[in-house]
Amino acid sequence: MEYELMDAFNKVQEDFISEGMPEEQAEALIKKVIWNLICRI
Amino acid sequence: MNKEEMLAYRKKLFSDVVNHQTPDRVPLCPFVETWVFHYSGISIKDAFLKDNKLLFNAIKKFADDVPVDAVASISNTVPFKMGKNFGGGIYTVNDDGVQIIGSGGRIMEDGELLELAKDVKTFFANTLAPRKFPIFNQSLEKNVDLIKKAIKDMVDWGAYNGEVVGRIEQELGLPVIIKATNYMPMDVILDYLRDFVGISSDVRRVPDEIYAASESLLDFVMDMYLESNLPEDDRWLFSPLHYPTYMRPKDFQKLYLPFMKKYIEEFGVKRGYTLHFFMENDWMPYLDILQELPTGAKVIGLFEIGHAREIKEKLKGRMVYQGGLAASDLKFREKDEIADIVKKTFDELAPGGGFIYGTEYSMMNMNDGKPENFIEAMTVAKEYGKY
Repeated sequence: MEYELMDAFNKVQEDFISEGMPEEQAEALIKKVIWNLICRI
Repeated sequence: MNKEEMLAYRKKLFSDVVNHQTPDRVPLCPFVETWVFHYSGISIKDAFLKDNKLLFNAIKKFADDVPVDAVASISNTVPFKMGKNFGGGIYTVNDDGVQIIGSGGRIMEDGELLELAKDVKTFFANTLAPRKFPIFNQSLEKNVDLIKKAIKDMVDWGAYNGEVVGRIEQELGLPVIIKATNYMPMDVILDYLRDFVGISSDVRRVPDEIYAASESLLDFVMDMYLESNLPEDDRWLFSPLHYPTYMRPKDFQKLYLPFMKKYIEEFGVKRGYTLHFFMENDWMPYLDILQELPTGAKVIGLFEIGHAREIKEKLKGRMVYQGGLAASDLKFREKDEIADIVKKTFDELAPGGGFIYGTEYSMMNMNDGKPENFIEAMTVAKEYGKY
């Protein structure tokens, strides 16, 4: 990969916020999906 | 009592017992997990993936036949559909239940604990996720779409389960007590990052690095749960404790206990969460060390083996004892022997409160317990357990 995967997560977070999701909620959602990727599935 | 009153009554049984007060009677909460699907003849795979009415129906059949005061969990704890986006994860589900596949539990290499300790979120995202899921080796735009799809599936899975929980509580008058499962830091490292051989080697070679990684993992988990602003009714976190009894007691005291203690202090003492630990294997050699845990918090310990009365007495004020119904009795005894066994257990463990009656293990398959013994045990317990 020529970029860090966190860039993709950050882009998703920015998109959610620009679509009206509160910043804290978007951040929590990204944290949760990252956690589930490694520690759930 | 109507369903609403029944729900409130049952919730109060648990609320009293975890608040160290004597309830109206001993609450009954066996861990029946995927046993209920075998018992009710409903496909586990379909119930988890296709139609949440099947999930509800399986639990309803169980609750109609077996007098219990709570469903511990609806058991659908892995978001399989989310995993499919990435080519699948470390679990699969079929009609026998949830199985671990491959060796996905070791995705961290030797020498990476300090990287993990430095920044959990970044290390997970930049290093472990692409390593675990090669599908991420694609353009940023495609990964953005992939992550959005995964988030949708994760949210849908929460709604799928939430609807079932709501129906169980409203239509059956039964509380579903465990709303979220969490892991102690060293169990995260064991189950998902380093596997048994890796973590055992780390404990011997680099204990300070394990400690540092555990500190960061606990902070990450605490932030994640606290940021999610769980409603008060949902503040019941379940944690199976996998690794402790494989540690020497002095290693447990040095590397595991500090985080268990902090977890109880932060969630239990300061914020009033109920913390439900599945104390796997034999904890007898660790009981003295557990005296360091705070008193007065809402903590339950489900003990698999050991001397029940001694455990209950030694941990009084620190943990409510859950258990008492042995696998050997459910599997091998005759039905007419069960009543005496239950009464003997209650004579020993019920006095003074601090006791939840249930299986000492998770029932996964029909072989884990004869239905007639199970129904008899709970029926006797409901009557005999009155205070």
